[in-house]
Amino acid sequence: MNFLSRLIARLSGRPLHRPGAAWTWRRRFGLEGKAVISAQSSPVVGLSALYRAVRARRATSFLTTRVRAPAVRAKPGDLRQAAESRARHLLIGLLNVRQRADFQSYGYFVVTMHTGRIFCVLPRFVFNVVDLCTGDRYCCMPEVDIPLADLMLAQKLLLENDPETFFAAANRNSDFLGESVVHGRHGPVQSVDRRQTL
Amino acid sequence: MKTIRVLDSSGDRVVVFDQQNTDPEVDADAQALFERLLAGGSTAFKVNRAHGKPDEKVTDFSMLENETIVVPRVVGG
Repeated sequence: MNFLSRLIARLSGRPLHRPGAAWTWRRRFGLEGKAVISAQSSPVVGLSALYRAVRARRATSFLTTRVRAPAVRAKPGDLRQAAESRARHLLIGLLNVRQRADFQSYGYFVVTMHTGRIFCVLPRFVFNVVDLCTGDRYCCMPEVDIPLADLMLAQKLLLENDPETFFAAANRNSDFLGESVVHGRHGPVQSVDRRQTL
Repeated sequence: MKTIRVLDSSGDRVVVFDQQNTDPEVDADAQALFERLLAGGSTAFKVNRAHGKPDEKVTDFSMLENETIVVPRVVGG
């Protein structure tokens, strides 16, 4: 204990207590003789003062002062935003010139299938693929939760290169626009959950 | 170097491998991942192809080109 007290006194810069005297926490922190920690005072008050002294010493001692590192745990909102940004960057890189101009200007883009059918991919999660010839809108999304830009990219790739998979899974709703955008005629009324295949 | 991008909640998960690599384990791991994804219903597309070729659906690991996008299995929304 004497060695430890001498070491603490040397490190903290405080004079060491008299050799041979009993080592106490009160003496160690310079609280000996103070009324708040006197033997006659309430032990609760004395302990509180001792704790305050310890905290004050820790806060001022260069040995115990720690620089807290900034929190590294990202918030869920930040992760979501980072995912959206990453997905948007990937989508923009894979759009053709006209699609990229539309997407950056208006938030949507137009996809033309090899059969000539034209679809508009809107920036929303549900029923966001609109057939510009019939006015039907389709809803088809991956099973896993993905950012909106990734959803639009998946729909573009499926419509352009694998429409069978898209239409086999997609739900169709014909009541969205009511008439064809291109031809201006009313399309057939379909139930919302009816699926259409090519 | 070839890249496989699997769309997920973080945007996309990137797997980079080199079929010319002397380490066959890397190639085997990438092939196992690709085949497992397709077996699970995912669809893969070759994108950013050379000479301006259009994107194309791919089902064979040996046919992969520089960059591949893997779309997880789709369902009706």
